[in-house]
Amino acid sequence: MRTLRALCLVALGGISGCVGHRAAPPLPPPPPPPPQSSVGPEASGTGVVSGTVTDATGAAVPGAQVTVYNAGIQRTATTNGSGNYAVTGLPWGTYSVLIISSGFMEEKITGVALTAAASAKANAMLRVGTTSTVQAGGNTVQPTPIPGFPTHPPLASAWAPLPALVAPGGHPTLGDFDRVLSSALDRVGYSTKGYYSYPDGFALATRIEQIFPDGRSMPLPARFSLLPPVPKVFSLSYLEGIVVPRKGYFRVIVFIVTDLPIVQTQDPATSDQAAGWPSGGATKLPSKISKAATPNGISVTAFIYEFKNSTADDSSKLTLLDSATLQGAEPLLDAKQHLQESGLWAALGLP
Amino acid sequence: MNPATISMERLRGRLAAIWLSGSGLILTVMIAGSLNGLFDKSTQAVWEWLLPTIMPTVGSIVSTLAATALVENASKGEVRRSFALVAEALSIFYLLIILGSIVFKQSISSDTPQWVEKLHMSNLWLGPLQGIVASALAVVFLSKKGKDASSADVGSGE
Repeated sequence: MRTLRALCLVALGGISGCVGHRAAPPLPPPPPPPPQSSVGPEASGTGVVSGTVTDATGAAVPGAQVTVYNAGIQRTATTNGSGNYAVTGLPWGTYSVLIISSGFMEEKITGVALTAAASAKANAMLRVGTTSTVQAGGNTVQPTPIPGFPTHPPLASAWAPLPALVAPGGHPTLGDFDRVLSSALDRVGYSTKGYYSYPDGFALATRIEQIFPDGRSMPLPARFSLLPPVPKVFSLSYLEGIVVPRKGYFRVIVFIVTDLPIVQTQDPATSDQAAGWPSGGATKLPSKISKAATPNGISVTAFIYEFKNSTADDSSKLTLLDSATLQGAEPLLDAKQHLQESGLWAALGLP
Repeated sequence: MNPATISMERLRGRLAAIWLSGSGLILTVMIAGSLNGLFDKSTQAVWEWLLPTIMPTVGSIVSTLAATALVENASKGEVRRSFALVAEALSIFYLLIILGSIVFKQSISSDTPQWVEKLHMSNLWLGPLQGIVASALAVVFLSKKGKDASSADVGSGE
């Protein structure tokens, strides 16, 4: 055996270290997605929010997705060929309007008041890759200085609201929530993070990390490597790896802090997409968002994106693990298990 | 029999056993790895590296054995024992390098394309080594004396 190893070293290269595996525990079914809309308590009549979406040249932007929302309502419309949209049947109240269109920066209009007048205008001018100016009820709304996280996040492996996670103080700001999250993340080794704006809040994404099948983070340096660690030479795992590709499990955790219900798309996240979240986001929460008072009903939701390497050849080709792709072939951890095994559950002081 | 020599027939048998068992083990590991998707898109590249390293020698050995299979006392020559040892040691050393390159894939490189690159780079030293091994084996399996003996015996058999 020693001869074999020596010969191999002579022939080709060096030997590296090892990490073992443990079986993953069984998985309870994920919770159903939250409802898309509900009626706010202040409603006493209904009205229409409408407007026109144009680009910087004043040309209409057709096909833009317009989401009108507040703490209890979320309605979506699409602009027509003239760039016009209208969302009807909205209970009276104050709304935010989010406009998303391919090729343009995401725009948000806040403070759209719908009262006895029964209609409100919210026009938007979108710009490609730059800032934009949005008129809402005569007020100019400054653009968000950091990239926006998808309002409808891609499908995650698991997710869980964390209602017990509260920021200190009687009237916490979004920055207080950030401090709770980021200090917990720092304590368990997630020093690289990416911040995104999110309607009425923000999103925080961790760096992609390699984990054991039971959800524990791997020790460094394997933790933040996209290649599975090499087991000890002549260990059972090593011998198995001679003829069978080694599996690697990877994870990205996204915390979304908002008072809105979050509806995911049915498209699974890709590993490239999730791995790019920390670098694509801001390094810190800008003061504009950080100092914002938290609306009633704000909560933190954790989204877990777990991937498995599907081929030995290309470590960047990772497949999202979800109930659809696994089809019961192996157990899938739930969000709480992921947070517990990563140490975040305890670091966040969750019961 | 001279104690300093070994019969050609016996040496052929021992070398054939070394090469057939060694290459059989290598091929078994390679086939299992290929079927399990160990090499994925690099499967063809790995086989392109492997086959020229062992198949010419194995082919020569098998064809010589086949040519002499039905003939009694096909190779009557004697070979010096020291040369037999050198031929056997070279064969074992060469086959172990090939086997080690496959078995220690994980240690050489976790990334399969990088490992394949190193395999192809190893041809720089495997090529000359293969030449030396082939020269030693040629004396045993393809020597004029052996061939003459085989031809004579085959002819007399008819």
